[in-house]
Amino acid sequence: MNAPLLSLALKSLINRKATAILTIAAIALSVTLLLGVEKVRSGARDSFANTVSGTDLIVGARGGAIQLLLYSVFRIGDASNNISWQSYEELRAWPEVAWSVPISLGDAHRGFRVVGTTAGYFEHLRYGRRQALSFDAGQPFADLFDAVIGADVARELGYVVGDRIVLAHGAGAFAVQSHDDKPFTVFGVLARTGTPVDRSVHVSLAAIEAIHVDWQSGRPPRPGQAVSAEAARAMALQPKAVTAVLVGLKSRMAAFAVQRRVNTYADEALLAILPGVTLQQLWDAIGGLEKALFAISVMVVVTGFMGMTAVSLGALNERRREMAILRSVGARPREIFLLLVVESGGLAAVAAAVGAAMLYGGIWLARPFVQSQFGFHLPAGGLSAYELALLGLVVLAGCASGALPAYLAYRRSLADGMAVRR
Amino acid sequence: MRILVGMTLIAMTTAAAASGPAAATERREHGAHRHGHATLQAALDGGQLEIAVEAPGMDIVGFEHAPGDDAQKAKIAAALRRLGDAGAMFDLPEAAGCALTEAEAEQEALADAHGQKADAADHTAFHAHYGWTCAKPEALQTIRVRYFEHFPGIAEIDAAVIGPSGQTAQELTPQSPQLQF
Repeated sequence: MNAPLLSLALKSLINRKATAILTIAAIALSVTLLLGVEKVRSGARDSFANTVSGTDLIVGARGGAIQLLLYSVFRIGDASNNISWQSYEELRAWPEVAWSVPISLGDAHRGFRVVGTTAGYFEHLRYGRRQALSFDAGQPFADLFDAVIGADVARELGYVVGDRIVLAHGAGAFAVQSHDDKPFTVFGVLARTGTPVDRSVHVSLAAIEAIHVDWQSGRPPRPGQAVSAEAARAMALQPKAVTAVLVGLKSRMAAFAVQRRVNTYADEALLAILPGVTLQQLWDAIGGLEKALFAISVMVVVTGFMGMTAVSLGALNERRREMAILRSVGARPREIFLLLVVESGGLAAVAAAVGAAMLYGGIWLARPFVQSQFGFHLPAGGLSAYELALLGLVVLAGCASGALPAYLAYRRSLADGMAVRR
Repeated sequence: MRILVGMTLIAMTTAAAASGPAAATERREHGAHRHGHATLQAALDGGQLEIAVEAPGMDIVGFEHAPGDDAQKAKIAAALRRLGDAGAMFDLPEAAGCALTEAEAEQEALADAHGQKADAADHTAFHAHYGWTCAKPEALQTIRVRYFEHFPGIAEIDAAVIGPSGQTAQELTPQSPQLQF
C-alpha cells in the first residue's frame, strides 16, 4: 500500500469524523470497563493480601471467619462481637505467642475509623512484603490523649503534628454524639501503606475507655455527671473488652495448634482465623461473580465492535465513489480490502489507548471512595502483561470486525471497476 | 444418599439423647461433620514439614458406628495401618530430601455434648498426623495427596497451608490432588 493511498484514506476518515469519534468513544468505554474489572480484581487481591502479610492469627468473638477478617483488618462490613480483656490477657501469655496487638473499633473521626490499640501496633503490624509501619512525622502515642493518624487522614483533613481533634461516637461521617469534651492531639503521622491503616486514627485503648468513662448505658453523660479530661486521667482506664487481637507466633508450625486451642477455649466462645486462609476462602466464594463480571465486560466490548461493523457496512454505499477514486489512483481491490481492515484496526487501537487513559483517570477519581468504602487501595501501576494482551485482542477484534465490510468493498470494487454504475 | 442422610439423623438424635440431664456448666458445642469432605492442614517452616488430616469415618471405612463384628474391626485396623503409611498417602518430591519423623493415625469419636469419647459413639472421624524433616525445603513446591486413591469415599479435601510464601486455602479433588506451597 502506498503513501498517497494512506493519506487519502486518512482524509476520508477525517471527513467522517463524527461517526469515527462516536465509534471510538463506544469502544473506549467498553475497554475501560474490561480493564477496570481486571484492575479491581487484581487490585483487591493484592491490596488485601498486602494488608494481612505479617499476622499469623486473628482472634475475635465466635462468628463468621470472613466477617471477623473484614471488620478487624479492613474495617468494613458488620461489626463482630467483642472479646473480654481477660481472655486477651490469658491468650497473650501462651508460650507460642510472640506478640499480640489488641484492637478496639467503634468510634470515628470525620468518617475515618478510630482504632484503639497498643503501642505494639506500630512495632508489629506488617504490610506489603513484611514492611513495618514508619512515621512521616511524630511518633507512637505516649499520652492518654495522643492520636496517631494515617497518611490519608493527614492529607485529606490537612492535619499536622500538634493539631487538636475531636472523636465522635459511632462510625460514619454523620456521627450523632461527639466526644468534644476530651480532644486529642495529633502526635504522629504514619507513612503511606496503601492499606486501611492510611484511613485510621489510632489512639490507646485507655483513651477509648476515657472518652466513654462518663457515658451511661451507651448514652452521653447527663449534665453535672460529666467527667473532665483531667479527672479521666486519674481513673483506672482498664479496657473490659476489645474487638479483636492480631497475633504473631514464634513459629509458623504452631499456627494450627494455637488456632485449635483458641477455637475450643472453654471460658469464652472465641474464633481464631488464619487471615491468609480466610482471605482465600473469600476469593473462592466470589470467584463466580468475578467471572460473570468479566464475561459481561467482554460482551460489552463485542457489542461495541458490532456497532462499528454496522456503521461501516452502512457507510459502504456512500463510499462507492470514494472506492472508485481510490481505484483510479492505482489501488488494487485487495488494497481496498486491506484499507478497510486497517481503518477498523486503527480505530480499535485508538479506542484501546483512550480506554486505558480513561481507566487511569477513573482509578485516580475512584481511589478515595474505594478505599473508604471497600477497604482496599486501587493501585494505578502499569498495565500488566495480561492487560496488554487484552488490549492486543481488542485491536485484533477491531481488524476482524472490519473484515466483513472490507470483503464487500473488495467484491464491489472488482465489479464496479473505476466507474460507479447506478 | 438417603441412607447417608438417615444415618446422620439417627446419629444426631442419639447424640442428643445421650447428652441427657447435665451439669449447669456443661458446654454444648458441635463441630462440622460433612461426609465426603476431609480437611488437611499443612505447615512448612525451615526444614520442618507437618501435615494433619481429618476424615469422616464414613469415607474411610464406610460406617461410623462402633465395629459390630470382627470384619468391621479388621476394616478399621486396616484403615489405620494404611493411614499410618505416610509414603502411601503422600508423594513428596525426591529433591526435597524429606525424612519421615512421625506418622500416626487414630480413630476418634466426635466429642458429644459431654466431650466424652464413648465407644459406642455414632459419629467418628479418623485423624492422621505426619511429620518430616527436609534437607532442601525450597524444593518442596508441591505434594501429591494420595488419599483419594486409597479412600474413594473422599470427594474433596479442604486444605489450609502455611508455607514460606504465607497462608493459603486450597481445595483438593481427585482430579487435582496437588498441594501447593
